[in-house]
Amino acid sequence: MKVKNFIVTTMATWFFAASSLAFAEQKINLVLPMSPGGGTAALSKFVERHLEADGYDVNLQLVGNVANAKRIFERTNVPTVVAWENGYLLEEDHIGNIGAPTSDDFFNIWFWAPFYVCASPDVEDVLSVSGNVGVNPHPSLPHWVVDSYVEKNPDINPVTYTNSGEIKSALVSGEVDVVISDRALAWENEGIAKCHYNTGTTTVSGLPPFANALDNDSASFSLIVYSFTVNMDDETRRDAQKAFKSALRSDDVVDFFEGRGADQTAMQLPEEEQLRFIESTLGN
Amino acid sequence: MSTEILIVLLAIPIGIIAGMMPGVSTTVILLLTFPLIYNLPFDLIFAFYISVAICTQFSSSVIAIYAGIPGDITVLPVLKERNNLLKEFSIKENLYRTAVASAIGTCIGFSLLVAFVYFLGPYSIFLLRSEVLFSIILIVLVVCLFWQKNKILINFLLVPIGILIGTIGFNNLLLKDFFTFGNPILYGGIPVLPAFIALYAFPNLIKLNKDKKSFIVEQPPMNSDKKNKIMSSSILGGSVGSFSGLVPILGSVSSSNIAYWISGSFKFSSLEKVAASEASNSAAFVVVLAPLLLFGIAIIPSEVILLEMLSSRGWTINFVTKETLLVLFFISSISVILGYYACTTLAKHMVTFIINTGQWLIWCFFLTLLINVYILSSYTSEVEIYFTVFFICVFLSIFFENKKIDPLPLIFPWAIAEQLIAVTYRMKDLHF
Repeated sequence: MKVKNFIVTTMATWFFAASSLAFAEQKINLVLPMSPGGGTAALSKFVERHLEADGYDVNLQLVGNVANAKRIFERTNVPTVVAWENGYLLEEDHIGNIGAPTSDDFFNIWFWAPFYVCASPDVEDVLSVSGNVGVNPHPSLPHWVVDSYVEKNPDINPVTYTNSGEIKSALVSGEVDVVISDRALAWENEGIAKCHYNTGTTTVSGLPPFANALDNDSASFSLIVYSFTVNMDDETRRDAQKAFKSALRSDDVVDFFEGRGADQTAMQLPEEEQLRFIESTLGN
Repeated sequence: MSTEILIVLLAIPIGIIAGMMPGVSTTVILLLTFPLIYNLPFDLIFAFYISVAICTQFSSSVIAIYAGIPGDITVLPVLKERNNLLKEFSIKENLYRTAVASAIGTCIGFSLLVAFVYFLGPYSIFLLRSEVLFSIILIVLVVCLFWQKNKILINFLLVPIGILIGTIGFNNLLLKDFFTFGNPILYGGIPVLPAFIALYAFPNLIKLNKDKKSFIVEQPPMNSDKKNKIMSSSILGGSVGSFSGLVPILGSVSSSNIAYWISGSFKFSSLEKVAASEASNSAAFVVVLAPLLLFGIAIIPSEVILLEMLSSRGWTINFVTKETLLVLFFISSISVILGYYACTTLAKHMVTFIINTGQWLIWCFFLTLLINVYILSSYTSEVEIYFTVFFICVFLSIFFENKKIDPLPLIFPWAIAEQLIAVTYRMKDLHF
């Protein structure tokens, strides 16, 4: 009898403890269509840590690709924040083209970055280099960037790589002569490459604006990682947005962006302005 | 500072335990210990990484030799030669020799790492080129096609099936899905790791209880002539691993198999072949750091995690100094000494413990495998597909066991299919 009482009491305690925990923390899924190891994945770790410190029970899911992410957020019934890229929306038949975010489901911009065009530091004029150009099939990399570059210099040959790490290897080993990537600022700091870039709307670090050099002043020159919500009511969304913006202001995230102040500004703008910024990159 | 050093030293028991657990790779350890090591000084993060890498390579052979369970794909040569090893020597002797080989391999790998960072860097850049990766993939496929454990006809059937399975899913390079038939659950592809665990671990688990009584037969210690041969095969293996480990993606995981294959042409004994493969494996997992320290380039998945962790805190190659190498030398030496001690002395107790256990240990191992499959799947939210693949492959392993078919020509092409597509596509861009 004593044993039975003990078991019943223990189970009841577990049940109430589990119930109180469930109500104490707001459960949130963070779904990213990326693999562990990428820049967005690294950023998501900071966000996860800060949201948990704010009392959220965060389930971070790095699901590898956009198709997998779509499958998961379409089937979940838990409040979920899904990271997405503006580039998915640029191509009509892309699996990630789920339409532009709206004011009802938009959450926040995670980060944005220009596409850098880089060559070895000893190259005088990147636009005159002939040979192989490493690109990755980034859906956010507008075709016109590569096309207009080829048009300027018909002697170049675009070569496709899976990610920015592979592109960096190709540049260092001499397999390609020029690369186009969104992750190249650190390479320039390491002395591996000399880069040109321009966002189309802002010149971030005073480097020569590549877009102008190509006689193309389109604004769609930026990679934007943003997020939207699924199964989340307005109040929860507003609270989570505040916590999220606070996480993006933290020292470790500011360091992560290597002092690119413009990134921080974009991420702290009111949601309506962020939405307009995304829309401006999508064209008509 | 003392807490930080303590965290780094924690890498040694973590690595040793992880090496004995199938499916728990250095990548998984880094992901699990992310909050613990993230704020360490850069040099100590490298020290943690190299210590885990060294210790997992030490201990993965322990469980492979005793129970026939692969901690990862690098212990395949041990599994291949395991029956011969157990006939010729006691388990204790086998563990001692493989630990010596691992220690020799680590020393050679570390020497080459220092040499690469200081002297040979500019001459080794060519190893990063796509042509090298493409050649390695072709060699792997040819070896699979002519794998002598199976009939060639069986291999010619298994290799295309492996490639086909590996192709299923959404391709991140071509931005298209293959053979998913519109089923979203297949977008993430068919994961190879649960298949690997099931096809190699499960048959060995079945045999574990039956075989273990025969393992306790003590053999006389080897004569000095044999010891010399182990030294030479270990040096050969360590040298092979020090270069093959530099090949991106496939280098470190296939180093043990390459050394095993090369040692076959030297007419080495089973123990010498295993010593060569273990030394090669240990050397490869140390020298793999060379491209990262030299160029800031990650060439294996665990390094990608490491690099992102470092670069997110502003690390660049400019932070690599003589102190970095001194710290790595210090922690590597401690890891080799403690890893060797744990895998020989601890293994002795472990062997005695396992021999005295009943059926429950097998169930514990099986449960560990299931938990590891769950941990692996939880990173991608593909629990259903991981377990489906695992259980299908458990039944497949029983079929293979009955028909005496070695699953290697199925597993390797499956694992490298995505790379094969990517590098073939890139070779077309570069040369045609």
